[in-house]
Amino acid sequence: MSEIAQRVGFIWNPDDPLDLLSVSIDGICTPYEYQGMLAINQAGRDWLESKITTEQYLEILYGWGIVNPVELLKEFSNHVDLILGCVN
Amino acid sequence: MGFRDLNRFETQRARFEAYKAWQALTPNARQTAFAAVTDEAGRVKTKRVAAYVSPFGTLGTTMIYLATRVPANNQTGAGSGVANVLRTILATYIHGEPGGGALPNGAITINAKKFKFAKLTLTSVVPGTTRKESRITKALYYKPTVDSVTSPFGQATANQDEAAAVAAIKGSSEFEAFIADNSGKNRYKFTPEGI
Repeated sequence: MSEIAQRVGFIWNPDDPLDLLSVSIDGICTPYEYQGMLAINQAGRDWLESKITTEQYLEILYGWGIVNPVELLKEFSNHVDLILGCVN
Repeated sequence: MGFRDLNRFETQRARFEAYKAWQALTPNARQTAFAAVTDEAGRVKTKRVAAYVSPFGTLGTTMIYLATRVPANNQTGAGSGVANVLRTILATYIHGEPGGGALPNGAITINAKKFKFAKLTLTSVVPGTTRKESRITKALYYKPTVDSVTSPFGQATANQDEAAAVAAIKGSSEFEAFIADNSGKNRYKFTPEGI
């Protein structure tokens, strides 16, 4: 079972895979954090549409202050594996 | 391994035992433990209605409408406050449904199968006032009451840029009032549209 599924307690299968990668921010935040939220979500979309490579995606995440982007991506791919495994 | 590690084990021992006990539970027992902490009555169930959303940046003055589902107006129950604020904020960015802009005569509608709309998620976070026990480590913490509602949105007028729409939504007074609420602990998220 993937970590996402363990945390939420059920197998989460959103219509839009970006829901598994997107980030939110607090209401009171700095302009930098706001720009980071937009940039990270846009990069996730671009990555899902193969407009940027995995390496570029990781670079963008790291550039906006996500310390270990590989871990994040691993969790995502584990969850996708789980969903695909259930379908087959 | 030095004394430091052994000390750390002793101080964290109670939580570690609780964690091992949690891991030993069957899925059904875990579900019961989950329900003991989570207030199921407070779970958000957003009512949705069919409506149209127009993807960003269509050429000239043409508006193209895609069918989707959006949160209904005048929600009741858990999370209704957030849903109603969300509908108010996005009123002009959703079309063809009471409360949103009406579809003009002869509007071009497309029954798209897999279009990914731009979305705005609003989350109200009411901080907890009493400490609750974690279901896994039994650590005490202030569990917040969280209501989250998502809605797709598109352009309000023809040839509107996505970044411009996001900036306009962020600048609206209803949006600013919402994110400043609960001492700024409320959260929000814009996700871009795609195919």
